[in-house]
Amino acid sequence: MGETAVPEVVIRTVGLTKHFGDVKAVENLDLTVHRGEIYAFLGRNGAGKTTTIRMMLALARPTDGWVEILGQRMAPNAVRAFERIGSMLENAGAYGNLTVRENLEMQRNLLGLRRDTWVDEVIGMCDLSEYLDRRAGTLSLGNRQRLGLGRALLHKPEILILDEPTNGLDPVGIADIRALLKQLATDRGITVFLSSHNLAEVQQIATRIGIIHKGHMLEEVGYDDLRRLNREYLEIGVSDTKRAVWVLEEKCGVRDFAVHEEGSVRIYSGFERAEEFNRVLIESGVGIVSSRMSEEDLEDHFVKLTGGDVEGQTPSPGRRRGPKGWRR
Amino acid sequence: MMRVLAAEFLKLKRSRMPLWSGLIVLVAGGLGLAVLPVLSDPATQAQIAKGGGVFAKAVAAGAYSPTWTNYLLIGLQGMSGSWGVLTFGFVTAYLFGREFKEGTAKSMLTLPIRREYMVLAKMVALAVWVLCLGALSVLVTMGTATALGVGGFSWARVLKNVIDTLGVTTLLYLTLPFVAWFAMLGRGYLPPMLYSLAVMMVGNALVETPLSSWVPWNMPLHLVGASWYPVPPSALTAGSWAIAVIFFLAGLAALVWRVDHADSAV
Repeated sequence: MGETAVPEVVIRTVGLTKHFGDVKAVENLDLTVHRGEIYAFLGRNGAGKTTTIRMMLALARPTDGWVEILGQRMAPNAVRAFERIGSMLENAGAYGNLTVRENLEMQRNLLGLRRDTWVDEVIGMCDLSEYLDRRAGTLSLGNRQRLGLGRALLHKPEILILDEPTNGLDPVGIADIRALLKQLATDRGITVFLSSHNLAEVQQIATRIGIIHKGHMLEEVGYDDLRRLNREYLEIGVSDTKRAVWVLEEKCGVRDFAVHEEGSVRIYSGFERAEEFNRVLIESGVGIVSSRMSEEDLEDHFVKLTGGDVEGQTPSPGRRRGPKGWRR
Repeated sequence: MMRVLAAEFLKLKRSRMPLWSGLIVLVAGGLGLAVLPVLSDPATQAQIAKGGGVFAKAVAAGAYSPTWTNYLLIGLQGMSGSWGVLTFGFVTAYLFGREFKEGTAKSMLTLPIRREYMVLAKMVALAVWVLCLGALSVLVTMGTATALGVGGFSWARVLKNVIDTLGVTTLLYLTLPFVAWFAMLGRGYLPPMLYSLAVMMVGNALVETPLSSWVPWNMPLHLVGASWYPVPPSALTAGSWAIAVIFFLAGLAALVWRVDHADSAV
């Protein structure tokens, strides 16, 4: 992302493990989140996302391993760390007999905050103004999520940990939350760690994605990989990878490409020159095994990794693409 | 700590539970006492005597004759051995169980506040609530006796009843941390209510035995007696009070241990 200095690690899990009897909910999970990132923790239902977040917030005790947030080992009563963390777990709770305003006021009092413009700003950010005098018990699930997010933001946290934050929101609400999280990360430098099973949603805002499946971290995909995975590319199967790289760089002037694996080069731009690339490679003594445009994106990648379809979406028979999965 | 305490009281705003618990005291206390004149009717007494059993014995002994002394005593016994145990259990279950029922436990436990303070604040709110219910019970008893025109009023008796009510409320309160523990263990209302029902039944079963003064949830009945057996009031020794306090502290420790060590926010 154009940064040269290594950003500070603000969340780190080391060998994080949680077993419930024989069920291995999370297994030896290592992840790191850097300051300013929007880290999406992606996985299907039951993959271990919520359990991981609970361990991060000291709501569940790890069977093994540990979590460090802002340099502090997370445990119950890690008060110093909690002062700098805002969190909202799946299905944000609220005191149903109290109004939205009272719920927020109570949170503000509990946090020892003085009433200031930030509280009003949070109300505006989370679009809660028109519900302020409504009892929380009468709110829709989506508005409860907004209230939960508002409570999480009240003390201007450095880190936001959110478990399925758009659960229950309508498409407009999802877009609003997405924009809000982006704004919090870019304007206020808040690090966002969010879990989701909705790939389409997170790939629009995440700067890094961690894919968890059956309690195991399968892969962490960085910003550049994300961009690549979401772009079309020309994949050329070559007989000599090293030479192909040299030819593409020196003779074709291509810069935006990557060696996918031995014998396979992916070019991410200049597709109109595909014929030229093939010709020059052949003329330079590189055998072309295959050459095709690929439409694979992060979704296919996710499906391939987890061995199934993306949660909440059903394959469209007319658009199936064989064993690789399907496209929306 | 004061912030958490204030929050505990704010959580009760517009909640119907304080009203419901007050209604239980009004109905259980008031209606229970309103039948005393009926029981003192000679024809009714004769019928009860025919039925035999402990109740007949109690009626024959004059335990249910409508005097101020009996009204004050029976009101207190109702609290010690039946509705008080259940109502206080209900209130405790609500205070601790609602955080799980309403899904707020997870946000509570991720606040930058020591978890022990949260437990202590709830215990303070609980103490205020049960004291209010105890005071209401005295008022209901006095109101019922006055409304029925019962004779033999004396302020000295009322004062003794207030002191005894305080004693019973304290003894019952000392048993409540374990009710709260069950609310946290069961993450809701049913387990603590079942526990309260069980200890109420055990308390009644033990009231005639020598164990009566040593079992914490039986001590209130031991202190004020049980007219329905009949068992007379009996003072508690320092040893009994020590057991009650130790039971309370053990319950409190279990509660704190649970919020600090268990996977608390499912």
